[in-house]
Amino acid sequence: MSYPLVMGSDWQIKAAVEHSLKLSALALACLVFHGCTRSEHSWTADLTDPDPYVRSLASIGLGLQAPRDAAPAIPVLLETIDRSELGLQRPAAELINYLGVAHTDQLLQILATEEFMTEDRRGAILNALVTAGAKAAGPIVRCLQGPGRAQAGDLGDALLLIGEPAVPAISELAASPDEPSLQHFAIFLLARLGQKARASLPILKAALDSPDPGVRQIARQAIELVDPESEAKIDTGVR
Amino acid sequence: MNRPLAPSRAHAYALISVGLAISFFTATLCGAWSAATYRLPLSFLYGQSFDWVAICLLASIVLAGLALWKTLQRLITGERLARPLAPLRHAFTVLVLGWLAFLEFAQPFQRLHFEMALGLFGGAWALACLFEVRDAKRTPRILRALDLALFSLCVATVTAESGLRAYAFLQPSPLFVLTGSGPDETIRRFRNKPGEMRFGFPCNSRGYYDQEFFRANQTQDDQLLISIGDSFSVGAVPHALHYTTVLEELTGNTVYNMGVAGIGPPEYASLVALEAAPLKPKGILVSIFIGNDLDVLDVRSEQPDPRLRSWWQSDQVFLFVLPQRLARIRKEGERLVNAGKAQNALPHVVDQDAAAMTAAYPWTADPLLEEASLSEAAFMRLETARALSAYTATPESLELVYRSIQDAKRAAGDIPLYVLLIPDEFQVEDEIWDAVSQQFNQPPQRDRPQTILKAWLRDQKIPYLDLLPVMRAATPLKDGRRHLYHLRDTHWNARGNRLAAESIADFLR
Repeated sequence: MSYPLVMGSDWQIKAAVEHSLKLSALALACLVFHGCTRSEHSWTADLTDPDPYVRSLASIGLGLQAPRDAAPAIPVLLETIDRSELGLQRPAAELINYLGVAHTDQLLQILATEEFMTEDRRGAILNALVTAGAKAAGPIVRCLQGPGRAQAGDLGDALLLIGEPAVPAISELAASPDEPSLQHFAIFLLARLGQKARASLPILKAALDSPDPGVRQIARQAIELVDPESEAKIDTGVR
Repeated sequence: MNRPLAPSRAHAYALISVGLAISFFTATLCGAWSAATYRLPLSFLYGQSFDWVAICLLASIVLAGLALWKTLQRLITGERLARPLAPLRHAFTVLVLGWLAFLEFAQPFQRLHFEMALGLFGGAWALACLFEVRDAKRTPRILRALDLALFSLCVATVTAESGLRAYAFLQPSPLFVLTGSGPDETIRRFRNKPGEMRFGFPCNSRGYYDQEFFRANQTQDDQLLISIGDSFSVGAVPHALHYTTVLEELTGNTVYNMGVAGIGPPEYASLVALEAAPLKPKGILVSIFIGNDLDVLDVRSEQPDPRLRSWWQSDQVFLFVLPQRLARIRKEGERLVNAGKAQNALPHVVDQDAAAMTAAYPWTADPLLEEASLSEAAFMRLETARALSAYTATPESLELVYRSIQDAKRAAGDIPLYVLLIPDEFQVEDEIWDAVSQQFNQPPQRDRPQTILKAWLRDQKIPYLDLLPVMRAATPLKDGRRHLYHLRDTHWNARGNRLAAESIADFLR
């Protein structure tokens, strides 16, 4: 038995059906459009959302959509690495790695100024610097000469992991006699790189004439490691 | 044959159906909107899984739209379903099954995930409703049986969870303490690796800087005590000189050292609930370090939607928490204590006897030989920051610490819980105190944090030991300093560990 609540003719019912389907189709179209066009401004606004998960998603979204303009996202990504409850540490670290090339200076600034950061955060920054490769070597060396001096150990490790592409930047530091301690450190890094640092041989040989005895000694040791044959020639007086 | 419904009742059922249809259609739109808004990061995070969710959400919109159309059509034409309450029943079943699936597959709870899940629920409801027909005889028997079985299961599930919550409220028990999965994650992240070597001693299979742990044998005279703490419990000295080892020598009882660097009060409560209490010790000692345990980030207070979380986050749902907890207790019960002392499976690299320790680590015998862990500037910055944090703490700001200790006490149940208050070095060494107190307009009372905490602990009738008076009473060495903490390291040296052990032994007597 049926109890019609509203009396309607067939054409009215058909019209209602068509309207419902059109409404669904319009809703779908709006959604697809909305999903394709989120602006960087929207992502940036979400970086200050009270929900930490939304902040993390916004930082990831901004980093993916506009890597070069993702500087505001980097502190949030680093915060995400420390927030175990979100479960997004690994993706945040991956994205930091991805953004490292474009934001080396910012990462170095954070590393130099935040003294007591967690190991995970520090590891993520250093990995990003290593991934940036040769592009990061120059900024790392400049950071060593400036506020990053207290992080010399970590920055030195990063340069070593970058390897041969970092040799020109390290050599510049090794060639600057103004700060013997930094020069010493740079030559030490070249020694650790061994034969990969062959290109720095002229600078190492020039360091043999340094007024600082520590620099002279480490330069000698470095030459032994960088080019053993060259050292043999020095011993026999052959140049 | 179905009895004809009164018009008013038929009208009511029809309106309920329309209401549900509109609600679920709106839910599908909201879910799809959320997915579309955060498509980029969600796709990065979840890859193909998110693509499937997005496709299902789009399908849900279509299905929910169709269901809404059909429901409106029935309202207009007055057509009646064979089972008029079916849409309501389907809604209940879909929500409960969806709830269980969410608890299993979509953790931790995030509002965004919840919105998308509601969208999927809408599609599932719509699908169920689209199969409803006018003539009951046309519905296959198996579908009707399945419908009834699922509905009954859902009713039983909701009743069980509600019943457990009511019981936990009326009869609190250690089994029902909810510490959350956040502390578990933190512990997992910072725990030492099994076998990791520290001063020639391998961490045990659980990652603690101690020998293997076994459940206490109730017939033995050995009174097992478990000590829980942060990096002070991990320690900066060889195992033989750690305060828990020295405490074993002084008392003749076994003391397990459950220390994880970098954790705080919420994690202590979690360790009590999940690892210490199942071992059935005679006592649990929780160490609160004044330097940084009072300034813990209350992650839970930052998390939005606490009411939703209480049902949609698996670590808050008893049906999920209890089986895991019971399994853990059963597992501990299987690891009975050996006759005699438990031995580590891995050999020590460095002999743990005192003479060997002194030979390998001379600074353990003479603090004046210690090498600094931090530069002077870095150390003073750290101590100053800790002092500012400790001395601006108020009873209100300590809410999380209080709550954690209460959780730990509840989780311990009948096992006595003791609290050890560990002072920071600036409270013990006058030289450091003089430097940090200059940061305040007016130098605060030196033991202010302990005063606040002790008042609360007395009020809660929780036994405590305050190490500050004991440490300040230590005889200074020839340079005028007490040297109870490793040089610019903030953790106890061998001297500090011994003094702590002696104080705890006296306290427990």
